[in-house]
Amino acid sequence: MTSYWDLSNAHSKDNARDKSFEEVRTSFVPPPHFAECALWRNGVLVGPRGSGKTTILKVLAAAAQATEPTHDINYVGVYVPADPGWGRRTRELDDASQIALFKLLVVERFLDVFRLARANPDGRVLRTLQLAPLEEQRLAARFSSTLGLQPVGSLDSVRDKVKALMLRIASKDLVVGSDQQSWVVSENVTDLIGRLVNDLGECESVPSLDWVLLLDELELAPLPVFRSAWLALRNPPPAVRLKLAFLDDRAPDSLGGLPNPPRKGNDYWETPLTWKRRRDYYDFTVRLAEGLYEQIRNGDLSLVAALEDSVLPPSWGGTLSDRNRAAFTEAEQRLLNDDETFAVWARRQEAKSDSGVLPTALRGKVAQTVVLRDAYRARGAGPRVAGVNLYTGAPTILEILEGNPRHVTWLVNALSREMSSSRTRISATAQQRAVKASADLLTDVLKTVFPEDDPSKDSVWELTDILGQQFRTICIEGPFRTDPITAVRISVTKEPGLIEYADLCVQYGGLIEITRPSDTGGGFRRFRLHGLLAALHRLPLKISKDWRAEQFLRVQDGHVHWLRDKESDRLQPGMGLA
Amino acid sequence: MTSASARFTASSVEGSGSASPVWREHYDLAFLGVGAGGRAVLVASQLPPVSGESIALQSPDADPISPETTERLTELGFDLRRTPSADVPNLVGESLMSLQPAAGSAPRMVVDVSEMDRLTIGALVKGLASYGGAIEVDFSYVPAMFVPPSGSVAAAISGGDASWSPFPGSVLDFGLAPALILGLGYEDHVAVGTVERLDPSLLWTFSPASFAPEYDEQVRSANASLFQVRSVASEFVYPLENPEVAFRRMAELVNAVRDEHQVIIVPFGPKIFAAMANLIAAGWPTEVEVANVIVSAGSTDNAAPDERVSVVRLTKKQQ
Repeated sequence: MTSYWDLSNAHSKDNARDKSFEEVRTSFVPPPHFAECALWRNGVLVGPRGSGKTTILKVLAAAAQATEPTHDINYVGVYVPADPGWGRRTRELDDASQIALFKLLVVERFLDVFRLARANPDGRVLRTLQLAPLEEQRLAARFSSTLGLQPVGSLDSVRDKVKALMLRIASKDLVVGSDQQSWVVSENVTDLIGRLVNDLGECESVPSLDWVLLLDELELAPLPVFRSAWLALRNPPPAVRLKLAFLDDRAPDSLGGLPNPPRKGNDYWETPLTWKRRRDYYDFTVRLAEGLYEQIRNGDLSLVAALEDSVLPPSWGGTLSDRNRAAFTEAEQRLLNDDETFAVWARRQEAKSDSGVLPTALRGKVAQTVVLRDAYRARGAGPRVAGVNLYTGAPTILEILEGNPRHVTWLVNALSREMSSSRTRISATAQQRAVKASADLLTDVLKTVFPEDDPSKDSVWELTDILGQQFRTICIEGPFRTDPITAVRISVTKEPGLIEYADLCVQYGGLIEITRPSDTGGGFRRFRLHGLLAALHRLPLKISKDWRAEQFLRVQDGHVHWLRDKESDRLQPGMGLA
Repeated sequence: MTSASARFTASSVEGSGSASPVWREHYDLAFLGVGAGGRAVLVASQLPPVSGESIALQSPDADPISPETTERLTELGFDLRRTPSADVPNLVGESLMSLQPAAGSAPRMVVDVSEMDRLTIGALVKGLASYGGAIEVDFSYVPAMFVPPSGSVAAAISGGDASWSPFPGSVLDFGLAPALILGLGYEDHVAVGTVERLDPSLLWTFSPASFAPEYDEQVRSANASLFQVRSVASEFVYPLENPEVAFRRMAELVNAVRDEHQVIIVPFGPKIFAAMANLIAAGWPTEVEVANVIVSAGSTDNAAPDERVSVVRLTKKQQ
């Protein structure tokens, strides 16, 4: 059975985090600022989800493994991912232990490079790291000494020792700094890797190599680790540079007044990716959804048909109707002509294909790209260059849409499922059902209580807040329009207090659902509230169709009280479900 | 204390799922979690003689139990302890060390988890895993009579005792893609939120086939949205009378993916599933994390017992 939500599945797997270095490298389309990112110097990549941070870092790491020169990258990149488990698994540890774990993680990834060198004998840069057995023994002894470990005879054994040390620190079996591992408190991560690189320089067969530590998703790391990585930007050792990537909401300002902090343009160069601010990014997704809906509302169902066809499995080429096939071909050609970045990507895919044409499996993705982009452009939502920028680090717009805004796609897909081929427009009831389904889904997501220290919490709340503000602006404060994006309406004549309630609910409620009252009698001033009028906290607030505001809501002391069965539930930030 | 692994094997117990399971002839040690619903008392009254300590655990944060329950448990030989979950591993270890089983025989223990909070279940398993000797443990569970959810039943996968987790996983698998084993419970919608938050690369669900069809229907209904949003690698159903089925299936999954994934188990659903999840993590502590699960008031925790008792036998060899 086809689900409402298949479209979200179609793109949710397109995340560079889950792809191998080689997959990322071979599908990569360099954005305009890539050359700047790739320079051998300290760098900071800041951007929202899906803007290409991980992709760029993985490409930098993969270049040394490639057999042919890749974007003039001649250094060895050590890719170090963060992990959502950072917080959960290290929160019991003190700052020094957390930082020590971080350093050991980087050392482990540094040692992994030698394993990669063995596994990729043709790697252009990495092949220089293939050591003779005797030389590896000497190097392992030097590394062991530098790390304060018992001497061992192979690099794999050093790595095992490092992992064992991590385990001891994580389980509080080792008090950091009190043992021979004094480096964990006395040096920053680049200094430590610098010492290992110096050890490597003693190997006669290894030419001098430059190294870059690529620290990804630092917003997931605990604050002491982020601070440590940030301070490491100052005065790195000669052969080591650092590139940090993090979400744009983890600004270094949050680190507080650090003494002698790194200076932009002096100690590091910053590259903001794609959308300078997250708000712009979500603004885009909202406008996109609005644009898609407009077309549907106006009776143009080709978009829906295209979306439906595009999410079919690779065999869809055989089942596609002639009408849509022609439309796709035309759209695809238009995209090839109009968009240089897309053309690069498509040519590369074609070259990999035996038939020399874009593989069938990718056509659906192209189709989605085309219809979404066309809708975006039709809305006049931004200059053409914005569309090009959508390809930053990711081949399709759908990969940009990964992450939290996926419910925008849910909405569109839910609407598409409501389309009947016998109708020229989606009925109001069907629209309501679709929006309700989408809102229900988001409600489910929001009902999961996020712990205070969960870094993903803020982004979800921020998204819902931004969406809520958007719809508030559009639906409440904006000019009257008959059929807004939402199918959820309320009617108000003599109860201006409802606006006040709604306003406060935006502040205190997570989700407002007000079913449509009978409004067949003209003269009602119509306000629209979308199901995604969500703010800082989760609260499913339902008002039945025969509502009267004073029956359900009361405002007192700046708080909304929800009256239910003669009981008053006070809604406050931080409160759980009502 | 490093995270040594302790592999358990699970087997079925005759009569499990009936009102009269076949308990062992005697036990050396008994632990049960005690709440207001009377489920722990039901098990305590069925148990054969216990030669060592009989301890009824309650979290210090929980509401005190009634004088009647206290009196009844005391009559049955149980010592009531209000013990923080973080102290439970040591308590279990000391109790085990105090035993003097016959030469060549492993201590026999019974643990009833019906009214035990999930964090304490994990802590108790942690204590068992830290014990170096061989051991045989019967885990029992009495479901509550089904009561339809009233109002909102919220659940979260963190919170509560946030500073301590019996099986937090390991720092060694940083950067590996998450594989989520998700036990499904009857709280509305929490599954989809959990999946959204953890964003796993692989996802399996475990639903109970319980003694009450209404409960199973509520589980299906409460989690319907999950299957609309995400593709699930497999949907497993485990019979509540044979929890070892869930244990074995989870062990197979962990073995299959542990080298390339960090395995996270989120044990919503019956407490016996939480026990199985923690026993799995005890076997692979550096590869498996069990998430803390907190279920709000409104759950069936304090409801009256179903008369049927589910029992599963776990054995561990000397380490």
